[in-house]
Amino acid sequence: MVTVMNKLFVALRAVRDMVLPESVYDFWCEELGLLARREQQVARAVKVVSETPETVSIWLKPNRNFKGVAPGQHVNVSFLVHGHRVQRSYSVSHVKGRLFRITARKVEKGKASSFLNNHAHKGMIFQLEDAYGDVTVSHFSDTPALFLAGGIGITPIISMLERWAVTFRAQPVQLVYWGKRAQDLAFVERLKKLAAEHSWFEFKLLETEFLERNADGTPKLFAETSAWFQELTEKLPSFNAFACGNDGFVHQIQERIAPWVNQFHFESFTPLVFAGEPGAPVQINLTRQQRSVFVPSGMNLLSALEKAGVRISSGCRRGTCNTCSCKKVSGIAVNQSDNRLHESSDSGFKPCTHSALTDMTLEL
Amino acid sequence: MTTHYRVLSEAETEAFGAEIDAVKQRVKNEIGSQDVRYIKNVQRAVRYFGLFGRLALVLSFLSGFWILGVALLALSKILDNMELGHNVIHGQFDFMGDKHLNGKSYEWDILGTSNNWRQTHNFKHHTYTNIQGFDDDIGYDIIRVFPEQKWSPWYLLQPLYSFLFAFVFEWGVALQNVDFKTVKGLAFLKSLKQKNPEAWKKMKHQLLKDYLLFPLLAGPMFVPVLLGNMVANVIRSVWTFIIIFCGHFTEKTVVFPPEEAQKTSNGHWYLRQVRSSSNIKGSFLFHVLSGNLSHQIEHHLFPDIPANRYAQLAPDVERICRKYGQTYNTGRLSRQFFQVVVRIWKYALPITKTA
Ligand code: FES
Repeated sequence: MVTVMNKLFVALRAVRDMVLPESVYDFWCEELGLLARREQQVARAVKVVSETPETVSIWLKPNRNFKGVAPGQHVNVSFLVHGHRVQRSYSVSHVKGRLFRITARKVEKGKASSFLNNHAHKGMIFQLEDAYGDVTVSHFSDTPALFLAGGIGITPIISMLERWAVTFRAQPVQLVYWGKRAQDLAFVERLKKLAAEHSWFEFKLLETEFLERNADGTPKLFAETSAWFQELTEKLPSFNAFACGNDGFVHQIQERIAPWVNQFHFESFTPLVFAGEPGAPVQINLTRQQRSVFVPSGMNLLSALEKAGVRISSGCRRGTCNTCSCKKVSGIAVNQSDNRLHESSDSGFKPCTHSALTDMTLEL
Repeated sequence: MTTHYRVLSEAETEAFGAEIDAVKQRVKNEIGSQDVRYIKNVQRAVRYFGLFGRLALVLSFLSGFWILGVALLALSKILDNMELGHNVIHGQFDFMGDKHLNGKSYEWDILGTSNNWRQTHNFKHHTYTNIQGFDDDIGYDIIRVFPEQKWSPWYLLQPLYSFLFAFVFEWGVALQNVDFKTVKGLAFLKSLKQKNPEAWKKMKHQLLKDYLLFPLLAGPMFVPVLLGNMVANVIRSVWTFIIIFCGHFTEKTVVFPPEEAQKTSNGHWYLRQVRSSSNIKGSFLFHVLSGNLSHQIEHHLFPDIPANRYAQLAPDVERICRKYGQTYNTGRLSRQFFQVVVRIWKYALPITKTA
């Protein structure tokens, strides 16, 4: 009986795929303004809020295929910027049922963040990938939490605070939030309100513009003599700490805090590092083959991958046949015929006409 | 070379290549939202014409609806095949990152698989255009259109079978990679199933869809729907045959000896594309319906640039060709196709180059 049912199911599916294949189904859904897709995870912007002149928050309503996201997690989001798809990873800054919010701060020369700040609008469609990230609310449920945020690193933290604001929180949460100037920082008003309303939450804002400097010119995040720091250090052993910000920020925090707290988690944004000399090795991560190889930077990437023993189909070796093309998830390449930099993620990246300048992730 | 194409020195060849490259770069920088809008509109046309065509066939008990249905469905299939599928499979719109407009995964509404096409067309035909022994598209191995192709008595029949071939061109493309010479008769079907399961599956899919499932869904209109689908497929075959044959087999096009494959520099490669391709003049609508293969020269020079840009590239390409004494081979459809027919009749006879 079961096998008959199975066969029937397979036959019905085959009929469905003939009458209404995925591409046709998705087309009509899009044409009719529906969010439904057969497999793709997409979301529509339902609200766009300008948090500061340089920061925008976008509330997204995902379709049924999206499995959901927990406060603290990240989602890879892609959208069209002047016709070209760009993909970025955002930590969600709020989760309300199926709805979630991402917050993007404009970064200098940042194609995606500038576009969102200037052009994001209600109704805009985004493609999503599965949410990821291990540091979520559950990590801090039974222990006091110390959150350390650098600039836009506040996003995963605020989403956890928002969750506790509407559920229940017995343990204290202490947040230290660093940023250049208070008026440029996202969610300051909201944080003040949360602190006023919830006794478990304390919050300290530090404007780095006025802080002392380290020898390398970066702001000194902790002034050891200050009363608040003294007070904080006393509490440290009971805390689970979480730091989020750029690499330099997290590094400083890690040095000062990690040895003293109960647990230390962090997330940092890594600016891509250019390989020094041409020929210096760069690491190419191959997501499908689940391995990494090192190849010389500056060398034709198709040849370099082949030399490193990677299976990759190729044809013309001149960029015209599209046989070698694959998705470049991250990394900077240079086009060997016109020396242009290729920085964005691209589903039609051609290794035969490029060489890698930085570490790179390819869907191969 | 011939009187149509001045022989260029190495330096001239490279200079020619550099000028073509510069034109390409200029247009490449402009690619963006405009191209997205264009291809989305083409996709829209394919879907709407397809839907209304199939609906009209179901309603073909009403007078005139059968013809209307066939016309719309044929139009949809032609656009899906030519302007949408062919260009998307070249990866021209990969920059959009659209799952359904991706060069590596697009599957079209035609008997042959896109994967097969990627191999025979995108790689072989485009990399080695009209190079003997490399490009299987020179007369599709069954039609002699150049004196350089070896003659056999079979070719005496080619005026007849080329004419018939046009009606089943879709099958010709689907079976292009299949070896007919070693396996004959019904054994061929078995070997196709075993050696090329993907092609077999696709053919089954297309046949079941157009000749069983859609007719069944039409209930009492089974026969008109089946016939309508068949005629739409044949119209598409004839149209693609005409356009594709005009692309490389008009009077002034050239074939190259196998040694040419060694010359891989940009200049040489571009020169070969110009000398082996021919354009067709026409209106915007005609260009769209031909999948912009009416801009065959531009398509061969820039197979990765969105086809809607070819019209913009054409004047510069023509100017550069003229500057370097290379004929920019173009003409109205009637003229170009007449030249193809002449070739088919002429080279049915054992005429060789020296004759
Ligand atoms: S091998 Fe042909 S595009 Fe790369």
